[in-house]
Amino acid sequence: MTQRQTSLRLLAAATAALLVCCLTVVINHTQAQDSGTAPNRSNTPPRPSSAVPPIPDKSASRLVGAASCAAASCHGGGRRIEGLHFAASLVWAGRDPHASAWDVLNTPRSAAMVDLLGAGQPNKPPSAVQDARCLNCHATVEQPLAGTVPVDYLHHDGVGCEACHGPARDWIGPHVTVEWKTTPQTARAALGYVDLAGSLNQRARKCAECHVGGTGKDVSHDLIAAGHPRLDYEFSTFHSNYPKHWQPRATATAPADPEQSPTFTLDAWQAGRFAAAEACLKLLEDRTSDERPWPELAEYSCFSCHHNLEERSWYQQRRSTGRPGWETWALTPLRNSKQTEMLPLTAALQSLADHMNTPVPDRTLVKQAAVSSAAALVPVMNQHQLWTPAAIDQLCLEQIRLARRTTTDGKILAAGSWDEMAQLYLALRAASIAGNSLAPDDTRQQQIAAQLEIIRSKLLFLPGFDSPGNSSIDAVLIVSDAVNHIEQLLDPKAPQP
Amino acid sequence: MRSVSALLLLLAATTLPAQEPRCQSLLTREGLSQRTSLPTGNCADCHAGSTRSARVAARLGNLAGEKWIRGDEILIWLGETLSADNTQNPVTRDLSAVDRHAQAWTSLKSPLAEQMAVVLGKPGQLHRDRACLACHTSLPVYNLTVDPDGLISEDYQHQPQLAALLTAGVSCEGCHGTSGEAKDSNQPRGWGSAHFSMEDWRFLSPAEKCSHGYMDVRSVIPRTKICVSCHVGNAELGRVVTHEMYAAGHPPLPPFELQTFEQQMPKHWKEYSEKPKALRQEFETRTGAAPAEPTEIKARELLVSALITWSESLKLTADLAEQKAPADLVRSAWPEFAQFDCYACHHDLKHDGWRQQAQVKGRPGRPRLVPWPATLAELAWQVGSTNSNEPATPLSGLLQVQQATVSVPFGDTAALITAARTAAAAAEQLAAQIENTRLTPRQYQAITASLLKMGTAGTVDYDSARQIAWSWLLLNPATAEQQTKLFPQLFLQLHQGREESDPIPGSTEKVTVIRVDPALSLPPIAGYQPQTFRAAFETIRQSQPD
Repeated sequence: MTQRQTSLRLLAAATAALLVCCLTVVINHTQAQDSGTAPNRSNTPPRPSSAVPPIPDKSASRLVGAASCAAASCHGGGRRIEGLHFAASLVWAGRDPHASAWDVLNTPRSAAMVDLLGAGQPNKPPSAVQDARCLNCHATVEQPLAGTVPVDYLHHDGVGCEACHGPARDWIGPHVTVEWKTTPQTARAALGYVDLAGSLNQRARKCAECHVGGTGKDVSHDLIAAGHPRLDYEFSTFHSNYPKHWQPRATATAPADPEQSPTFTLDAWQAGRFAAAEACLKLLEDRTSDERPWPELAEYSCFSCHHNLEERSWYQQRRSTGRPGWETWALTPLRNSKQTEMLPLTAALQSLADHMNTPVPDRTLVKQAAVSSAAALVPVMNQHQLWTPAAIDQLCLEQIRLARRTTTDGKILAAGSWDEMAQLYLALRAASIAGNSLAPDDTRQQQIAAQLEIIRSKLLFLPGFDSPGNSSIDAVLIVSDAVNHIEQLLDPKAPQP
Repeated sequence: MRSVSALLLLLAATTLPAQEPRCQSLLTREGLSQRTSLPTGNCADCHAGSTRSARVAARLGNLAGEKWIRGDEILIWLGETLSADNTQNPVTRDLSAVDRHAQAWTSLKSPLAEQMAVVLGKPGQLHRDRACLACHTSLPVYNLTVDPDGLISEDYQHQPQLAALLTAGVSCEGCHGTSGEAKDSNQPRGWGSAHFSMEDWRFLSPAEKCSHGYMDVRSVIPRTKICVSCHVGNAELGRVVTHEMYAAGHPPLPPFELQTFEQQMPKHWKEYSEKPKALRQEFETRTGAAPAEPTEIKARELLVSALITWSESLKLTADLAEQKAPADLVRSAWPEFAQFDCYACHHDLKHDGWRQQAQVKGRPGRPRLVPWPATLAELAWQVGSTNSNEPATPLSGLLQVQQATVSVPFGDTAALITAARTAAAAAEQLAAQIENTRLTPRQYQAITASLLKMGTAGTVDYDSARQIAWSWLLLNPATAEQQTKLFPQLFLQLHQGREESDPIPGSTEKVTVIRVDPALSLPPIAGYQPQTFRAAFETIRQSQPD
């Protein structure tokens, strides 16, 4: 044999061996998944082994699964040196809570929830992993599902790549080409691609789809009572806490990533409150349909009801009527604004509030009012605010003044509820960080930060509790004091409350 | 065997007094308005510890003092004792021995009432508000005229008769019936004069006394209805504590158990068995009555009053759901939150708290109706159906009521009204049966067994736990010390509380009173754990002889 022939044979043998190895790995991995011996990402017990479920018909689905993005040469880390997004799959799999979203459906709490929700009801799903109410948020689905869902291996991804970036079947190929960089967003969207890089509004909306809710994605009072944590999404906070799997871009050709802006926290806060409001109104519209429980208790102020009875609690002192007011976490930062451009929205929301604050709100009227409010939101959402130091100060003062409430004995409180105070705190915190970026030598910022820390400590729930756990007015007065301090720092000429 | 039991039943039926219609018509708006109200000063002529006039002395004859009537009822009511020379001026007043009903009107001027008034938007005016006066006085308040603000005229303070009637709180007529003459002259005379002038008054049947306006407080069914008309509520009479009032600061109404609450009152009556033997024999000869033994009465009254309490609470729910309460007296819109379990909502949210699994399965997050009235009604049902050979069934109508309450948040109104009224009627029917039958030994055992089972199994809420504990204490008073150690937080202690100064009507002076202190009564609710109650009751169960 010539040397060339030997090399060729060796090459052939090596290729064959490599192919066999790959096949073995693939087969083993599939078997491991089926028999539940795949490595656990969380502390949940392994799924009991069962017969291999039938391979679902995926011909109509545009979902390809998170594994399809995770090749080493793609987003699996092989090109890490060129940018963090080339290790996105690793960051997601290793650090992102979204990757465990399906896993939590296998915990005892989820099983107890399904039991509580379904006992004695017809068509009870056998487990949370087959319950559409859970999967619509806790797995990657293209369209909201309903009822009992057949077991599907793709659900194991939890909230995978495509949940945010869009179903990838039609753009997974094109997006690696050179032409992709010059493909307009409309063409990309036609293929199913969701632009999260350029548009903060789009990013906030995408998060709000699950973290506030929408069609088929409803954390209602029934679910919360069964054991689901309450949803309290604030985009700026969530974004800053998120283990990012991308690097903000500032290239010569592509538009700058909004994260490059020094006032990003406020841009995010702004985008977030509009996106959350939009999702919230859509969710309310959904909830008015006839087959849903009504009144939907999750639309009302949680802690107005959920507090121990105490003598002279502050709930009485802020003029309680004995009815929980309509209050959603998501709409709190938007209501009652007196800015000219917000007035149509304010009026629409007030009309909606009037309907929701009756003993049994009329479903039809509420639906109409929700639709009107959503329409009034559109022109406001698309404005872009330029955050100068003066504008930031104005925002803080406006938020502080809108939230104030007077008690029956004349005390001035920072806000009328825990939700309002917490949202106020988050707004002031975002503003404080943004302000820092613009004027780092401003010494007020440290003082404001100190006051914010006091507010934060009083807002925290006691260990083991999911509610403030304290109806005494003392904590509320401390928070109010701190807010008054902040107002004084921002506007020394403001009258002392 | 069957003929023997039939004979026994017949015997029982003949030896117990036939119960007349229970003065149903008196505890209505019309019934209470028929006659004029008389102030307690009239009663004090004979019932305040001395017999001033010869006329009174002559009339009372051998009935007063330690004989047929006590004669010092009003003194007991006010916690007062006379001086040694038996003059009219009371010299000592024991604050903890004042009947709380006597303080009912002055509560409307307490600091808590002031706070409530501010929250409700009528500072300082609760003493003129009929929504409060309906329970806190004995007058039929719906007959009082109001000004455009909906309050009775401030002038009442200058009208001695009306002022006396109002400021006496829940006084004699509140339970014993309006005593003056009827507006319709064709009606029999009022019991105020009748019971004094008629020689054979005490031999009249309850129905005959009712025709004079005298409410039958000796029979357990009418007595329970009178008490719960305020202590639970009555829509027609305008006696409703709404959630708006609770939100303003009204203390939560404790779970009512007839005999437990009676024991907290300073006793201004004698039990029948405590009356002199000669008088009892005369009574039994003249009327043919043969009242039962005290222990039997205790058990029977526990069961009957529980059923009536549940029945009245269901009727109140149905009335409010149907918007039947008079709108000028009761400011309530359905869903009236006060009809639902307070603590289903009013609790801090805890990780893995006990309430999570105590929800109605299949309907989490849906509040139930106030749960405690059904607890002892269930006991009564179990015991009442013990004698029949059919298998025990759950409390009639409870399941339908529950389903109607949770099928939709705050209840499917139409279904709830129907279910509530049906269950109320069934409960009242069983109450009438138990009132007329002697309890068998098997039924006594069933009471004990059921109470022990309720206390040691399942997840019981705070108010229901109190009902169970109080019932056990009632029937086993010797275990009081054991219970004090086991359930310190559950006891009813109406004579304890905080001292406050109330204005004396018609005077600038103030009187010290003791009233319930929310700082003491509210924390045990928050801290209650069903497993602690279960463990404590298990201790009781194990100390029982087998």
